[in-house]
Amino acid sequence: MIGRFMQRILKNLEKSGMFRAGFFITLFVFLFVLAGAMYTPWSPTTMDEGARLAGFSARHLLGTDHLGRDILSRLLTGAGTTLFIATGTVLIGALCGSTIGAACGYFGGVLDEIVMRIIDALFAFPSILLALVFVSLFGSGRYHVIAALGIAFVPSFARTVRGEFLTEKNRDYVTKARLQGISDLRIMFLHILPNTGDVMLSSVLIGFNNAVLAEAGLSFLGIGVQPPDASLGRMLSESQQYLFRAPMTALLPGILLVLMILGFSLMGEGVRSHE
Amino acid sequence: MVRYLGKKLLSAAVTLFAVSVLVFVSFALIPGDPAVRKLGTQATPQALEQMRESMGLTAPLPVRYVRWAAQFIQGDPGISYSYDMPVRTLLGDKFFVTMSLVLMSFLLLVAISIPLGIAHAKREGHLFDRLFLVLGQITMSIPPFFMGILVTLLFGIVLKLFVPGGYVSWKTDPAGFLLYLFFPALSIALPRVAMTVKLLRAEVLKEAEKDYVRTAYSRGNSTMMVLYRHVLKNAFIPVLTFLSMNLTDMVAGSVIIEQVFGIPGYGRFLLVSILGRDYPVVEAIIMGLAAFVILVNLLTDLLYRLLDPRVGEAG
Repeated sequence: MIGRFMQRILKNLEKSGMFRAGFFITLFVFLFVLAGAMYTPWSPTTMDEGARLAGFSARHLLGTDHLGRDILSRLLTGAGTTLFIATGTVLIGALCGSTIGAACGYFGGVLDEIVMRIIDALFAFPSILLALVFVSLFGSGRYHVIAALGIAFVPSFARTVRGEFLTEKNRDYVTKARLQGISDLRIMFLHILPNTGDVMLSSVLIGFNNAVLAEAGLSFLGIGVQPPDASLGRMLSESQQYLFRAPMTALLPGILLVLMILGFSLMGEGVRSHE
Repeated sequence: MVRYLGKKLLSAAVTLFAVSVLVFVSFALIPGDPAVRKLGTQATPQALEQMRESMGLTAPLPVRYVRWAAQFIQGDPGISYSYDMPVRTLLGDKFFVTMSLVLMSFLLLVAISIPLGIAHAKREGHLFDRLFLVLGQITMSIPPFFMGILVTLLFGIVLKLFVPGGYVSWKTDPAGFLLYLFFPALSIALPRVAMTVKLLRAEVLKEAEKDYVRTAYSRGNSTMMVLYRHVLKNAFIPVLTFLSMNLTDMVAGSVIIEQVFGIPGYGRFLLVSILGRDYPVVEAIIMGLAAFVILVNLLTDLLYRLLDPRVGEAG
């Protein structure tokens, strides 16, 4: 499956300019995060008392926030937190969602009816709201946010995969495999699932896009990642009061966030544009 | 049509029922005893028992659900834990504030995106077209709260067109209220304008390649006639669904924008109630929003059917 995924990515890189643009933006963000995981000029939580809301300087390359914390260091670790949570969210959403969707699409019947009703009910909520409800059930903090967002993302994956399975299961290769006596599970995951490659890839990319957005939103509201953990959403909400004196404290995390989302959305668009 | 309407109504009712069960059960099963929260951990067992009795927590779950749902349908979502006041009184004008904001952003969205989308499609391949494609893609990627900050920075601090955080109540100054809402509404609308423009452009261009367009041209119609009388009619159908999806998303998105601009709508209240574990309030807000979303979806389905009579004929 992972090999297929890589193949798809390479094919899309070759074919779509949009995908390429998104890929390089995302690559830049990844490298930025990777660098941040290994080295930050300051500790992201150290407060430099003498330099609050400082501008760009040699001491603090991108300045400091209202508590005198180094912005570059906070960007480096904050982007990592956001990406980490997004990855966890998409993993949970994609794994649970495609299993449910595959089972519903393949077997159909009463199970499908009931599960799809529940999925429809969950779908009635915009995902940020669903995440809010789950956070209020589980509590906040990085792992709780992953669980909450992950569950909130299950319905959309389940729907997409179910749709794919509904069309694929009537193809000849499935009938043939069935006649050969191959087990249902094997057909589902080894025969049908790999054929949903591009759709899965674009769902995963859109999932990343939405997960970054949702995490930043929750942290912005103060119920996502908790201090002293840095997160881009939190940095934005903290910077709001100092917008007049130090607009850079808001612009920098905001721009990084836009780059992250732009990268994923361009790749997603690229995949979909030549389906 | 009547059969279609009946089917859709039934399905909406089932979904609403499923949502209400999910909401009720999940909040009922949360660890933590509301009676303990209310009286404190020092309370005597007898007092706690009495409190549970008076809050109606002793009955079995299905009975409690039916009681809650029956009250809800009559328009009484219960008593807030934190304020000891009816939830209805507390929510009263907060929904009004939020709905004004959402409605305003929706009107902005429609008013900006449709003419822009058409203009965009007309100039396919021009510099304008390509510039807007790039600009649109970037605008789409701006999260609503960052858009809010950018709008505050540009219109509030640089151009001084409004006072950031200077919310005016609609009771004291209706015009000032609407004026203040304009900028948050703009922040909600802008990223969605970019998405809608893109979709409309793509749909118009897709339709323009179909045979009926060539026929219409060959019968002597001008580009304007073909565009407005034939192409747009068909291109609008998917855009309509997208707009309705946006309307529901905007309601959720306003939670965040209200926080950015300091607007006392339901969103802030929801946050405070979640943090304070005031479940009757949370349940009421969630149910209100879900009902709104389901209603909008229902109306969209019906409108869709009116525009395209083929929809829903098969089943």
